[in-house]
Amino acid sequence: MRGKKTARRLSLLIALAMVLSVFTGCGGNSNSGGGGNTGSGGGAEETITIGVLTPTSGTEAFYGKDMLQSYELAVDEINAAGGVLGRKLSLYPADDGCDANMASLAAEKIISMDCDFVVGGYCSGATIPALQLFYDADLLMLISAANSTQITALGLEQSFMLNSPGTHALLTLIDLCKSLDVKKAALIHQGDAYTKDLSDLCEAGLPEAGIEIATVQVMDKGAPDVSAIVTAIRNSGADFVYWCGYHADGSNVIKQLRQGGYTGYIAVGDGSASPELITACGEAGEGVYVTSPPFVEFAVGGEKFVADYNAKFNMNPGNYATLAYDSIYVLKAAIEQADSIETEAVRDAVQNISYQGLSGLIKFTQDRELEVSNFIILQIADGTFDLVIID
Amino acid sequence: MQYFTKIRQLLDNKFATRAILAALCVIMALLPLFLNNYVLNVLWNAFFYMLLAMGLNIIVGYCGLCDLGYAAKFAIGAYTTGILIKTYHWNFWLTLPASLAVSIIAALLIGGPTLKLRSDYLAIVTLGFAEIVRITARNSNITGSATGISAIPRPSFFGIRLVKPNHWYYVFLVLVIIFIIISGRIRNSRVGRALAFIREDEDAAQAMGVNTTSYKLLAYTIGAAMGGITGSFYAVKMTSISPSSFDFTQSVNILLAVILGGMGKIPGVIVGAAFFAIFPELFRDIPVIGDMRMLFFGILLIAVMLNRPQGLWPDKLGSEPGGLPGDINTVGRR
Repeated sequence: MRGKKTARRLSLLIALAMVLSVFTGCGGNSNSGGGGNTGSGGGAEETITIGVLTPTSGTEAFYGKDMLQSYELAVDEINAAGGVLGRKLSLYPADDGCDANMASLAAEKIISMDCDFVVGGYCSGATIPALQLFYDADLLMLISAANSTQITALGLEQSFMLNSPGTHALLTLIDLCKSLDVKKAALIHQGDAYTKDLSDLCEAGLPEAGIEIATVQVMDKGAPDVSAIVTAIRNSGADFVYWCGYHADGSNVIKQLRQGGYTGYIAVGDGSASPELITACGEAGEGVYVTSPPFVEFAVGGEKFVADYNAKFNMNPGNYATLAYDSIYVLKAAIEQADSIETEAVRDAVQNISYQGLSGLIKFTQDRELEVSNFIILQIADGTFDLVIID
Repeated sequence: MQYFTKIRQLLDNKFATRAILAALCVIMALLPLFLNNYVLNVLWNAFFYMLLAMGLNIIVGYCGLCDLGYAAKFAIGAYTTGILIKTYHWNFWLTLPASLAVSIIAALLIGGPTLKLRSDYLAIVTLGFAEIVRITARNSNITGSATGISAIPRPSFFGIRLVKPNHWYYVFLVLVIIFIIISGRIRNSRVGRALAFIREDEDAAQAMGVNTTSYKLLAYTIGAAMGGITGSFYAVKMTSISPSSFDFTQSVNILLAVILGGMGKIPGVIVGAAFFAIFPELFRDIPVIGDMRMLFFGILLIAVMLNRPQGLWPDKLGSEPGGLPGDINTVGRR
């Protein structure tokens, strides 16, 4: 048989590659040992290495890439302006693939490369196992996007979340309801963990703010007909509907609510904060409110960021770009304040920091969560999002 | 290639095999003295896939059942341990029998009614079961819904708290050795021969008086139990588990490791799993190509399947109990 010889050769080659793999693995690491951080004794030329833990492959690769590019933009700006404490910054990106296993390998890789700090964190499920490893290795991590309350629950004092946890969406929603003088609110969620959590939070929190819950409805994902929900909401006498779900089904709900004769306010949560919602809703979307994570377009200094990002990467920044960009600047500010790159000193500096970034005011509570919500309120008007400012 | 045949001949010699295995064990045991944490973790990951692949090998390789939902078996073990430790504050070592019991019960419940089915239908059922487990875990409060269970405390072993990468390296190395022994014992037993018979020709096996359903159920249960135990250790090693770790891709990954290495043969499965775990890490630091590593992996997999459909290190031709010369690729044939 002709194929037999090549097949054998191929398999031998693969076996050889595997054996080599172990050696290259070791070799690469023994090299890295020399370039590590020598703490305060290091010279002025020595760079500060920041490990980046983001998913740059797999289903969430788009967001991971977006974050990585924002880090690169910030690092390049800082280096062009002379660096931090006279030292240049450099990034060491490691792909966590939004997977717990891969994330722990990526974290070990970052640790073995003697990085001084870590930024990143998109998927909570991948970030949590990595955090424990960073903690064991005495590394500080600024978590740019992942915002699960479980991260807070870990109680690891060297990790800070720069994104608002779900509880902050509720605070923003209460502000909105009060300004609109809402009496009875209806909630709709989609039964999965994320949207149900948001709905549960609102169900518990709105009555405390004096807003009655008229009804809570569940819409199955992708269900074409929601007339039962529309009827229930109309009968409940709600003057405000909060859609906790995602934009894919949100447009359908909004359209059918309007067709069904509902005339009160409609607001949607951050799962629906996407320009696609506007196109899918069309006319019916006019006037709909959105409690949204910080969109870069509405940030002070946002135009410059968008322009720079566009010039460098030839694309528009995504939802978490501002948070990622701010992470690097928070780190820079903290290092300068601590006048050192020792983990403990920088940690204390981050704990006490007050930094006005693109994503809002960054200031941490003792639980290392954001003190002030970075959620913003948008309203759809003439086919675009407009920023709504409540005193 | 003569080298290849020579190596094979050498491995056939029992004494030589034992000597090589002993040397390998010593080398593996000494490795942590020379390697850093990252490499140890990569090797740990390889061990982890080896355990899963060996468990699945009992089902797919020995018995020829097509299981597309092995992640569920491993999820059941992981969640049992996670819940018992976090919610009921059990000691980790006591959760192992519980996890074993739950895995076996789940396997009996799902396998009992469905193992009478032929392979393709079974593939659908196992796939469905895996999705049910994952979605249940995603939506139940006790499993922590979508965020899963985190901050699972690390266990102690005779006073040593298992925290460092080299601890876990040794724990999983011991598990791999235990699993190899279990797999080998099953393979060379009466049960193993019956399973091979069922794999090669189910009707003939039945005609010869082998109770095919109960043997299939046995293989399925053993495979599930091995997956459950692996899951338990995984949960405490990672300290956190979430439904996304147990999705369909995970099941496919394990199956790929088994098929790539060679179904039914223990060294083959180990090589396949090691390859599967180590290959992506090799590409991590290479720019541009690093992002395309899965593409290369896919191409390589196709190349292997075209040139060596029986896997990198398949079962020996003809010498398999009940096996027919040149007729190994049984799952593909059915």
